[in-house]
This record gives sequence, C-alpha cells and structure tokens, in this order.
Amino acid sequence: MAYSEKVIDHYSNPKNVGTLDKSKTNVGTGLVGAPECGDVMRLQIEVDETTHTITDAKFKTFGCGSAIASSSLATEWLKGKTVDQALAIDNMELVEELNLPPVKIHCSVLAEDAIKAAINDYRVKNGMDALVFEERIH
Amino acid sequence: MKIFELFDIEPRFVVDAALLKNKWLQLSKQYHPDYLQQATEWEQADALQTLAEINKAYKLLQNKTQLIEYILSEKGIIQAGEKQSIEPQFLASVMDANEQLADAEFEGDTAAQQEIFSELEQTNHELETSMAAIFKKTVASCTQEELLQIKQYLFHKKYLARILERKI
Repeated sequence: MAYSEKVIDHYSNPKNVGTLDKSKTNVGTGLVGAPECGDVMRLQIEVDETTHTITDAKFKTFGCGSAIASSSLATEWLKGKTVDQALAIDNMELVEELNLPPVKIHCSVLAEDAIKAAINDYRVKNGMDALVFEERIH
Repeated sequence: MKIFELFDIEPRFVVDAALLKNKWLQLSKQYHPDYLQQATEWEQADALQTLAEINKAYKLLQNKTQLIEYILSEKGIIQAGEKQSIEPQFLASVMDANEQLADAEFEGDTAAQQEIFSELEQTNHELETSMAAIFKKTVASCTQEELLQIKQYLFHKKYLARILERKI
C-alpha cells in the first residue's frame, strides 16, 4: 500500500518537530506508545492560561510514516484551538485528512491519545482532575 | 494448543531445539508423500495438508517472539485490538534513547551511537536474565502473574528490537 501524498508531505517535511519546556506549568506533555509496533510519540502543548488557547504545539515521533504524519498534522490543528476544542479532535478526522488505510488507523489513534495525554498533563499540573476517556474498540 | 499437540510436546515458551528437530524429522517422515505411495489418494492429500501444518508450526516453534505471542493469544492474555498500556517510565527511557540516537546520527558521532547501542544491548541482556527462570517453566505451570510478566517482556523486547534495528 502506497502512502498518500499528504502522508509523504508530512513525513518528509514534518511540521512542529521539537520540544517544549516540560517543567513549565502551562506546558502539557503526552507520551504514548504502541507496543505492538514499537512506536513512541511525544506531543506537547503550550497553553495561554488566561484564554485557555493552545499557543504552541510540538511533537517527536519515532515510528512509521503514518505515525509521524498523524502527529505532525495533529500539532498543526492544535495551534489556535482552545483546550476544549482540542479535546474534540477525533482520530477519524486525521484518517480522512491523510487518507490512511485501515491498517494504519492505529497511528491516528496514537496521535489522539497523545493529545489527550498532553491535555491531562496540563490539567493535573494546574490543579484540575485528569479526564477519564472511554476505551474504544478500534 | 494445536502446534504443541502436532509435535506432541508440552507447551513451553522456549522449546529445546534438538528435541524439536527430532520430532520434526519423525513427523516429516510419517507424513511425507514418498512414504505414502500405498495410501489412497484421499489419504495422501490429507497427509500433505498435515505436513504443511507441521512445517508452519515448526517455523513458529523456532521463533521465540512469535511463539510467545501465539501462546499469550491462545491463553487470552493478548487480545486483538486491545489497547496496550506500557509503563510511562519505560516509554520515557525509549524516547530518550531514540532522541540521543537521532542526535548522534545527525552529528555523525559513531562513538556516541555505539555507546547507546551497547547500553540498549545491556538492557536487553538484563531483561533476558530476569526472565530466564520463567522461561524454563512449562506454560501450564505459569501463574497468571507470570503470564502478564511475559506479556510485558514481549512489549519491551519489541521496543528494544525496533531501536536495535538501527544499529550500524
């Protein structure tokens, strides 16, 4: 199965690769992995504490092209969104945008999990409860 | 578990290679078309299919990782589509190793790369040592806790293998 053009674009020119200072209270870090393929993904958000808007997002992914593209696209979408809007990002939106084949859907799930983990890290750092997300069948 | 039944051996995570080869030679002889020339056409076709199953099982029994996955699936410890969780601490160490390696690759620092790989190999070695006792047991005598420990081992191995693939 060939990768879609959008996957190749994000894979060869990933957007927002890097690291934010995880010691800052307004930075949330999500670190997730997919043990069955050995992928590991870190996604970070920097939040404006007065407006709850995500001002910056960075990622680093060691995995396949689809995992890199999913996290790259996710960071692009995150910037400018409020934390609540970010929570609504669904992995199927990533799948549609990147034209991921069924065998690569789990890569988009990983990116969605990373977003949620980053938001929870931000919430806990700022005295809020971590949100509990429903386990879904993929 | 079918593949062990085929070979008439007790289910284990690590199968003795000599014993396995012996059984395989025996079975190959038993089901090989050359030895069944007097049998009916139907019996021959049946034997050929059994032989194919035996060869497939033989491959699986020789591959440690695949065999562990097979046994854990049969025992319901690993389920298809199941969300796997892995300890954050381990994930963080994998991320660190990946980042250090990427930096070293970028800078063309082969000495640093070698060092990272030898650390990873050390981790790998420690992981194997910590599991050696469990792998000596039969599957039937493993407790649920031990099976879960093996599942964790399997995932750690996959992560390590993934990074070690990049070894120069």
